[in-house]
Amino acid sequence: MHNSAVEPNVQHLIEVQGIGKDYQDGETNVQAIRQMDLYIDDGEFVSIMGQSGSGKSTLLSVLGGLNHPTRGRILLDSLDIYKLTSEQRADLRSEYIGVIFQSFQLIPYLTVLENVKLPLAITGKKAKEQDKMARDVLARVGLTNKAERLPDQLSGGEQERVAIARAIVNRPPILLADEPTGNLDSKTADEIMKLLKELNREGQTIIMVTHNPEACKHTSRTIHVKDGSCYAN
Amino acid sequence: MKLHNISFNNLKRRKGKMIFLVLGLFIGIATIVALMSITESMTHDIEDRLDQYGANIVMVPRSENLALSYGGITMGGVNYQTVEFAEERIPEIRTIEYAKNLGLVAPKVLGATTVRDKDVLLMGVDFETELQLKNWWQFEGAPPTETNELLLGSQTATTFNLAVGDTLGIDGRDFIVTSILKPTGSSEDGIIIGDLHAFQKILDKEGKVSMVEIQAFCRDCPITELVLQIGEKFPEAKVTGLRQAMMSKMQTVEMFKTFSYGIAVLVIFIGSLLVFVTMMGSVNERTREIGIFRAIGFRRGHVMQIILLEAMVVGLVGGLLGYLGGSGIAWAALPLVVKSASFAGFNYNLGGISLLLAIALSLIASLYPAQKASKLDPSEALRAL
Amino acid sequence: MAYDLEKYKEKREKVLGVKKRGISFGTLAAMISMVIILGLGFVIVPKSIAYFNTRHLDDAIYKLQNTEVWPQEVITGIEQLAGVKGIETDTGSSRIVVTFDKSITGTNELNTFFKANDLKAILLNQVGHTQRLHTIKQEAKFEG
Repeated sequence: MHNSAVEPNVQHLIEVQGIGKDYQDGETNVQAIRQMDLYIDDGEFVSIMGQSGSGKSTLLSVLGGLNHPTRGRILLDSLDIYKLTSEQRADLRSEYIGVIFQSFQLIPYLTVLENVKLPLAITGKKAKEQDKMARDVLARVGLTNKAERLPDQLSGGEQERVAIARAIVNRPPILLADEPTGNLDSKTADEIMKLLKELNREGQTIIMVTHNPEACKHTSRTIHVKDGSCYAN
Repeated sequence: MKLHNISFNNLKRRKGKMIFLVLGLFIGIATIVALMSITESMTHDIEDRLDQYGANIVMVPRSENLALSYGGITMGGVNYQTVEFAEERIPEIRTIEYAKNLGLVAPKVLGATTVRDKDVLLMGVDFETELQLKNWWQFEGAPPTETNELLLGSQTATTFNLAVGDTLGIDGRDFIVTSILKPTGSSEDGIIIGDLHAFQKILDKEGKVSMVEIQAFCRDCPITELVLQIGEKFPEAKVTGLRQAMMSKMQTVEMFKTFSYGIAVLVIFIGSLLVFVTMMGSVNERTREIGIFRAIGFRRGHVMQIILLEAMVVGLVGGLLGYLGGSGIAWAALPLVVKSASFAGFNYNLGGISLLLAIALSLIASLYPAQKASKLDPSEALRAL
Repeated sequence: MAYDLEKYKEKREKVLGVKKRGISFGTLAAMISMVIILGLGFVIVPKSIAYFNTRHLDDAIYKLQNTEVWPQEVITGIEQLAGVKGIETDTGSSRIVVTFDKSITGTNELNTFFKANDLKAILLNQVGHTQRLHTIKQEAKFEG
């Protein structure tokens, strides 16, 4: 099947080739990402580390198909993701990617269980199956007894765990995490990192953006980002 | 879990915004429904009367300002000093072309006189035909059969303090009250009704007739043609079909109806604007939420669907409440607007229309906000981390 | 782990196979709403406009007392009077129906005209224009 979005002879699950991103901040042209080249293999747990403003969050959004780069391309499973149509990209996110943000990421008017089921709402899966998948994953993160609670009734750590549950409920190959332990105390942060390590051991590819060097200890590889460029570990 | 669960849960758990939206639609729809209901009750009222009196034709001398209040409907102006018809000509009515459609012909003489120092209107009739014609009359006592017997209007009886069996002297002659009319709401309540020839003598109008009421056999007969033919036979008369007089009352209702439509359009416009503004505000508030949906993999169409579903529910609830509220208002306000009309009841057509209208308005007003929501750049939406 | 092309083949094909569904929900909702609103509009607006345009029109029905036929000059004369919108001769009889704008003229003017032309015309009836048409329609149903 010939398709301009499919790239032959790809070496890695994710390849970032010559990425650059410019913004217009009023009059000035800001370069959030100058030039980045990197790759990520299936099953890796990679941390992307840098100070705020270094371009790491922008990199994550570009990786997630959420932000069109000014230069370069992203290959995910041989797909040039920015050559896809907007609808195809949405489906790509649904099939391949689970996202975890730093905070304020749960829908406030949905229960914990409903929040976890959110990615399944567009898959066409039957209600019973959705329920089972969601409850399984809630059990995995240890929040079965909070299934009917609303997000504002949970602690920061619990909310993060719900976010993780939601991100993995549809078994996406890739997990993107943006500062997952940013707002948490060190004890809770440790628990979260432990959970992520467990998932990785089971084969989950995880890309984590962080400014905390402690977190990088848990990962197999760290990519440093500074001033819009990256330096591999 | 499906997309509609997201919509419902938003409305369920964030009632504040929904109530505001529903209120806007409610006011709009209730206004329209109330106006339409009132209009319809008024129309029904007229049609009911038409059913009752419909086939009657009234013939009066052609002098301006001769008014009758007939079942609450005015048909001219008032003046008792009129030029009468010759009684002997009355049978000519039956020589018109459509004579076979004619039923009863009931002549009357009218005039004022003083009784017990009070001014009173006398109406002399041929009781046999008159009672057949006025088949809705109800009385206390037995209707007159002799020439010296009277039928009093309810108000006259009270004014003169008379009961059935009493005697009343008019112009030197004694009459017996054999019956009193139950209130009819028309001019008969304030008059004294007696034998045609007896009253002709008292009023010094012997051989004359002030007015003729004619009844056609059926309500849908070509009454206009009958009216014209009678008019041709009696050029000195003004002949009017009751339905015609009724129809001019309908014109007032039509005017009210058009006025209502005008208000409806205005109200609809304001209601839609309200929905639009609220939805836009809502979309702005939910930037982050929508960003999350998009990050999870929802397509633009999915996001639109969520918002439009919310709009539909709001429309449904607003329409339903508006319909019930509007009907309630109509029911309460009707006695104030039209004295005798009764509430026409729940009109299901109107209900269906108001529901559809509310939903359609809600949808249209939410289209642009929904579009805007779906086009939100996810990265922008998630920026404030 | 090295890159395995086949591992997520199904997902890849799913993503590529996305075809835009026929009519999106939004467009459908918009179309239905438009249809409803326009439908209501088409019913209401013409009726209201028609009402506005004709509510000042009255019809006066006259009959000649002495002669049978209305002279053509008279008809033309009436038509030229201010405010007269039209004349119909009642088929088969000696009546005419004069449609006029009651804010401009009235039966008094018509009567004066007839008198000036030495015509003995009787006013048989005066009725609203739309009302007369409405009644004709209703009575036709009965006769038919």
